[in-house]
Amino acid sequence: MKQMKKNVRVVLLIVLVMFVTLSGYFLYAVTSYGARWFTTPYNTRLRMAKSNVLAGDLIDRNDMLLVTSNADGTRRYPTSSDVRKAISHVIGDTQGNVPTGAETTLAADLLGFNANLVDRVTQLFKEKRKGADVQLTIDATLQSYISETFPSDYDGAVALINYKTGEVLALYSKPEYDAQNPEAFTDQQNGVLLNRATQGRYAPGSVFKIVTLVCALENIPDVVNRTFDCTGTYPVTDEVNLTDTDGEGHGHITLEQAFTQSCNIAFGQLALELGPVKLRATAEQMGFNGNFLFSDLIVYESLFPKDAIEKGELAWTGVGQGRLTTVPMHLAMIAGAVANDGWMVEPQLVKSLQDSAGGIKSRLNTNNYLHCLNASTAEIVQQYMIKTVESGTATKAAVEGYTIAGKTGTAQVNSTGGKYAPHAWYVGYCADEQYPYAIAVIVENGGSGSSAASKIAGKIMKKAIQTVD
Amino acid sequence: MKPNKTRYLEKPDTDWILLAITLFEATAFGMLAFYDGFDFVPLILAVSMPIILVAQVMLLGRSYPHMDPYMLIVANFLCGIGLIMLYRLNPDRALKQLLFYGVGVIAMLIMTFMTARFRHWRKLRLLIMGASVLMLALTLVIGKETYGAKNWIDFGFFSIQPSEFVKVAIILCLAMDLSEKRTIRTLLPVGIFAAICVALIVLQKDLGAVLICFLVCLTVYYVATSDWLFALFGILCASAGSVLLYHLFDHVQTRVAIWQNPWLTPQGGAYQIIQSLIAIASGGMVGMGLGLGTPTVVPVVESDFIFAAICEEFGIIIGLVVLALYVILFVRGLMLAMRARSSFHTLLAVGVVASLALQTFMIVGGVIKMIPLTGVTMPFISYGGSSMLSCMLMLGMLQGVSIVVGEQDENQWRQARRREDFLP
Repeated sequence: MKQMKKNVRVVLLIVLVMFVTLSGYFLYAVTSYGARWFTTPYNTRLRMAKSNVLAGDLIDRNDMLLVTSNADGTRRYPTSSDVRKAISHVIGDTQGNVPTGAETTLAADLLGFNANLVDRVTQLFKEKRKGADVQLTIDATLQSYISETFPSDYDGAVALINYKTGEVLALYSKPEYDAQNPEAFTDQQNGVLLNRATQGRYAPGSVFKIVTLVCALENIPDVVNRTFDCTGTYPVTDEVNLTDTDGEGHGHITLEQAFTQSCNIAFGQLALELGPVKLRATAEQMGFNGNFLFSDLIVYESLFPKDAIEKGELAWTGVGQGRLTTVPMHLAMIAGAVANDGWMVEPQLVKSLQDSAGGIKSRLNTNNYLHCLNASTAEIVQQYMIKTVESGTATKAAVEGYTIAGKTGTAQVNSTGGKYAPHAWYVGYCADEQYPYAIAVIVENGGSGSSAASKIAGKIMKKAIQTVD
Repeated sequence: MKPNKTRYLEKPDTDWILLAITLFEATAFGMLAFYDGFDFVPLILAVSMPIILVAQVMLLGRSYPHMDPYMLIVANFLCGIGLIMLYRLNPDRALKQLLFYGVGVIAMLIMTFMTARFRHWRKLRLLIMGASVLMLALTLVIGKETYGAKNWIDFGFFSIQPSEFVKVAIILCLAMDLSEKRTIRTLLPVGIFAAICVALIVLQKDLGAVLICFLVCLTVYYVATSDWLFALFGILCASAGSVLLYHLFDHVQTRVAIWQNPWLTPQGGAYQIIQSLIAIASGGMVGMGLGLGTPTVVPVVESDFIFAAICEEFGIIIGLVVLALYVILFVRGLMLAMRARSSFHTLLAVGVVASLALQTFMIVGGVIKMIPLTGVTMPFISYGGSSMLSCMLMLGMLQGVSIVVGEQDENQWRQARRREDFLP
């Protein structure tokens, strides 16, 4: 009997562990995923709520009205079709056709589900309830400017954030659609409804060298004084050759020169030396493979291969090819983390809420999301990125009078067929204390990054410095 | 309930708990009465539910001072929450459930008496075993298939789910045979019986019940023999068996796939689980308020997914409170098992708690997408006659054990006191 008692105690312990785990998981799941579950397009409550709740307005950071409700509950957009199109993906639609648009992800606020108890009770006695107005951190003027500036024949995306506070100033995706045109949602070709800035998964190309550089700086002692000999190609294995885009070779160069001139040979060699484990660890430290759980917006995760990487692929991974995929928004956040001495802040899309009673509540709340790199490492990367804009591959991104740092990238697509021109990337930030903006630009099939992407990035950055307050 | 000098048993002070539950149930049913125009039925429930509870506590407490009022109250309160939720979801079903509840209470009282006083369980052993196997076999022949499992027998005006009762039978038989002198010869019959039952339930494809039965057997066996090596071996077998069943049955594969990523088929196979998650998230911590949510969009919300409805309307905090209520029931049950003086009673209590705990864990874990969904009911709360009846029978077993244990303790105390009085 004594032994039995002991055994019952074991059973008791197991039962307690089971239920503590169950409750713990339950709380964790609802607090971190609850808002997402609620705002999926499959939530019939949202659709039903629209019949007796007037959805609140969406306004931009300068109080420009972006969407409002008509008396019958339908949504009205800005009269200018240019503005409508420029903000199309950030706003989304009420039917959930653009599942990551603010209309869907912020539905709980817009329809008053998050109202406090007092507000809810007073609303019970009203004929037609009204949800909260939501002020976004987006600058619609800047957004329109991006739409004008973006090369007309190309698709792509732009993400611009304040890397100190996390405010998202612009999220632009092209092709655009017009929310007022009902056919816009039936024509889903070319992923028109996809917000490429937060959902588009692209090979990063040479902008990934930022990650490889961080990994090398943190793992290889004295790597800054290392020199490389680049002849334009480097045989990794019998089958795989690492090549530079121009093929000429950079000659005898330092690490800094390898970065500013974007030398594949040097960074491929660094990746081989670091090995897949360390490279992956650094990538994950900078947010790869992580499930981004931001409270205001949905950003798809960037992926670093989780299974074995062989030598040939590893060299190419170090320069941003292989099976890597990244989301533009994430790259802007990485650039921001470099600028912010290693801290990646959580991006925020909601500036304030105004409930139906008129009370304004600020929702801005800066959270450090990840510690991506040491401040000392960040300092070196900052210096290299500034040099890249001063005299390296990204000179076109320069803005006169301001310290701009950046990195260009040229991501090969469809490497076997070779039919398509590569994607052009630019990732960078403004180092001036007053204008802590980080940007990522991708021009799909835009050719070499140094021309297409960095040029518009410079223009957009200049506009942001001038107009955003 | 600490013994003092003069009286062995202080009357447990449960009045305020009963009052609180009465207020809760009266308020909830009162609100339901005015939910959609005026409806007098909830008012009847508002009065009758607390009366049924208080009557049980008083009746049982009067005749058997050693019954455990806390387990009784917790189980009845869970039934009450279930009925409130059911009435809000589907009044017709709630009235049926009220009937099941009434029958369940009677069954519980009978079981309490039988466990405490009936001395001839062993003579009924073969009968119980035979009836169980027969019922399961019958289900396979004339059973009705629902949600991929063939586990119902339809008698026209009512239908039963035999596996629910077989669970009770297995616990009873295991407790009887494992508390005897354990030799291969005495253990063989019950081993074969349990194996046949599990095999028949596998054939019904009712994998939730299989898992519960198997793990209950293992738990009871471990407690009886301390043979943790065998228990470990059993768990390995269960894992291997799960893998085998996964490959054998399509609906298991579907369930696992849905659990891994429900967002692939939000309008198809994963509709139910996704609607459940959305319902839980809609309520938030404090809930939408009774009648103000939309839990009816979740398929089978009355039985398997009732936890989602509770969370949506009463809030996640109350959802956690419900889990805490279960834990109170289980912990008291296991403490009882530790106090018991005969291994039969220990094993009976352990078997009952293991079965209820596994069932609760599996369904709540499934509803919140922590583990793949297994279609089992939520004890005492879910709609369903068989489930309500078997849970009540198990509660009766626990009460019976409580009475026996309490009386034994009291006798010992009296003897000790007599000796004390006798000595200077």
